[in-house]
Amino acid sequence: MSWILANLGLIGSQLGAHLLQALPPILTSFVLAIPLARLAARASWLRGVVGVGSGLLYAIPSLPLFIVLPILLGTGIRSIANVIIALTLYGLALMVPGAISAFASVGRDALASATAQGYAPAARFWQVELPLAGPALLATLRVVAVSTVSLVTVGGVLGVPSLGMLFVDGFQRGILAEILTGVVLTAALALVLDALLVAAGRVLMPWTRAGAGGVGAGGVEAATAAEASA
Amino acid sequence: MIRFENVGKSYGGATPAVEGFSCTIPSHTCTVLVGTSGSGKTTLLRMVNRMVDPTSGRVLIDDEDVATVDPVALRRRIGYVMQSSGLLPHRTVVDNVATVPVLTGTPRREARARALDLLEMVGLDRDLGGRYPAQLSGGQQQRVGVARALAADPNILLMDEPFGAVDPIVRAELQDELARLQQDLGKTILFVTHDIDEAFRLGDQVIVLRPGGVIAQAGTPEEILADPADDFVGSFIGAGSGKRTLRVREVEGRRIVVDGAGSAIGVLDDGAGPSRAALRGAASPGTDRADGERAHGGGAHRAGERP
Repeated sequence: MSWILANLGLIGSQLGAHLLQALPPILTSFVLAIPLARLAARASWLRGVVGVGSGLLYAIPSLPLFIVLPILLGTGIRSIANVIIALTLYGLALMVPGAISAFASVGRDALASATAQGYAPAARFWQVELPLAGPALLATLRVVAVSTVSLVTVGGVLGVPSLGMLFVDGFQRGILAEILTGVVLTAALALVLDALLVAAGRVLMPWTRAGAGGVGAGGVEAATAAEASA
Repeated sequence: MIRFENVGKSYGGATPAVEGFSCTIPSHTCTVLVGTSGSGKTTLLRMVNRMVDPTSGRVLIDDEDVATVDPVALRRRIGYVMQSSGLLPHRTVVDNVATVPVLTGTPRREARARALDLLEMVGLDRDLGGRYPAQLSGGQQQRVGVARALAADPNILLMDEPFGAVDPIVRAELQDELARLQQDLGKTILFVTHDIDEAFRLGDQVIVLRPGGVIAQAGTPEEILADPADDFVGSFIGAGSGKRTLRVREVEGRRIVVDGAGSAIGVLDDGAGPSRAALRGAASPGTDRADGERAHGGGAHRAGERP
């Protein structure tokens, strides 16, 4: 406990560095995965390429990637840019296949109906297809967020500042409190991000909780229907 | 008026989905395309609002070739109801109904107010407006689907097996409701179904289709019942099964109508009730029965199906 109190500044800066490396890959992979997945959901050849590509990408061990990337990119080995780029690639490898199934899960009836009502193609995507893919997109995004937060720690081995540095340093110097702080804070950060995503989902997609009584009397039938669609 | 002129649709396979289809759908009447799956009826329906473009021939609305009209604008002025309602699951009922007016620029508040009125018009409680489609029964969803199609007050309604996914009792209610609405509104309706009883119940004109969009027979329900063009139509309408051959039997002084199998289906009423054409609100001379007698029950309303 005394170690923590004596090192609050260090812990804070490592936490900040951790967030700085975790958030951009989560955001970037989400934003890039949507157009990629939307295209792949329509073209089967592209779906094959993306499937194999993301599988291969995820098979590359993270530590070697952190070492190879600086050589390829010409960045310094301790630059956080390496971590951000590597984790964006991992994020894509998870996010794209998930997003493809999210778009594939959107009911054809709802899309045909939207077309028949006179939605122009772009409006149909933004106002119908994307929201309806939303719950499945969110599920994948939660996995990406948690996995990215934990992968950031690997950079600690190379001396890139993050919560990972706390347990690398704690091991080397035999400080148990430092190791525990790193581990617990990493897990807590992942949980907090996950909870924020769930909360955002509830706000942005109110219909997904309609069966739970959020919109007045639904009745047994409605609750059953909502359960069936969940 | 909608006119199909020698319309065909081929998806590149050996047999086209539709070939050489021509017909005219008069304004303010209900025309029903009836056929089994593979008869091309949905393909034909979707040609009217350009969800399908024909590979040959053309479709005209009031003498304007729909191919020359922007499809998005065209769809906004044609009501469309589909099976399993096709409501947007992420929008509340009132917002679903307000879809087209909002798309065409009506302020949301105004569109919602009108949507609530429309819910009442199709026989739903305004309180349902705040719910999501998944919170409604199948029959309620179909009513919302009809309200949505009427929201922009289109002249034309396209209905693709709108009542196909609900149970027979609710279906009969919905059919009655549609007939009542049509009497008030007088839309030009093109209705697709595989249910011949529904076709006879709702159609001023019924077109029986063979596979490939070939017209087997077109006419009023009375004409088709009176004189099926061939065996295909005969078996489609059930002429040979005894269901259409009704007989009268005297029971305790009342005249009971029985079908070919001898099942009682209704009571004959000698009073002069309103004519069928008047009930449907459609002036189609020559279809009124002259005998002054009519059977209650029969067709989609067989007594045996009632609760």
